[in-house]
Amino acid sequence: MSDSGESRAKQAISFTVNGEPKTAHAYPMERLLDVLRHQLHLTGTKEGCGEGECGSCAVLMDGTLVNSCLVPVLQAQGASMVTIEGFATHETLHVLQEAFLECGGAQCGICTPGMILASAHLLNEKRQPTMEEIREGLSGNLCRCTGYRQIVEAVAEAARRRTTA
Amino acid sequence: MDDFVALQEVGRVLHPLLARGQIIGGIAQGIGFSLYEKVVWQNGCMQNAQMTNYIMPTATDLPPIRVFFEELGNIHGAYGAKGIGELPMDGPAPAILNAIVDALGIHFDSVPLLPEDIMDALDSASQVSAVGARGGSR
Repeated sequence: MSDSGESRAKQAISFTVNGEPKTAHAYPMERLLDVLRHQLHLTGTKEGCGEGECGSCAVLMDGTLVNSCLVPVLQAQGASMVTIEGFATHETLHVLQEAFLECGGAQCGICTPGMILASAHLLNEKRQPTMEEIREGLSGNLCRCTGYRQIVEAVAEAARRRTTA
Repeated sequence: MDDFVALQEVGRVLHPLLARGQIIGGIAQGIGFSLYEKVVWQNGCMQNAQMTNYIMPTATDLPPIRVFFEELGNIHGAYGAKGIGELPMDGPAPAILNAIVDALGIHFDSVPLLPEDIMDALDSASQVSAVGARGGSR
């Protein structure tokens, strides 16, 4: 009896992405990352290591930060997800995106979507994180270009602006 | 490491935000190459080609990095600028190793310098000094 993923039929899997209801037709064990990028064409979510270590494929799933390369799409059934495409409102950038831009938080840009998602998750949990808490909150996201400092500064700046707004 | 100060001669800074970011990022890589990032080869294959066993710095691993520029101009570059791609990579390894040499009085000449390398060198040094002490008491 074959139990391989290929031998099984594709299924209709429904969930919400950035507020819009979506249905994907996918093998149950397909990676959420691939379904987001290839079926829904939400290519803002990046693949880095593909093994759950670098955080560049991070998305919010029912408010929890997950690495979408490790999530079988079946688990997304009924879930509400946010990707980087859900941050800017029309022409207006999210406060985190503005802060990243102004502080130099993005260089090559591959880690940036995951960094913004991780930062948003952190700021949902803690309104005024300390610098140490920001570094800790971003420690699951690897960046090769920036040295992290400008990213940490951007998150602190976004937290400041949100309180004063 | 509790502080890293970089002074870079870049000709002329054209974009202060990106120039500073480029320097900080290069220093972060240099710190990674100095203290964490060991490539293990076997039969022409990298044995640790995963983020779990090839360790690079995360946001929690880096010290504050302060950047200063010396702008002397450059007749060959646009508006007096020089390339700064590799420039910030050069300083960290010698600075960090020399700091460790200064603290321990033991010579190191390869990177990355891992904690176990330092422990091995300290063990060897203490054995040598123990032999020396026995030799001296005879």
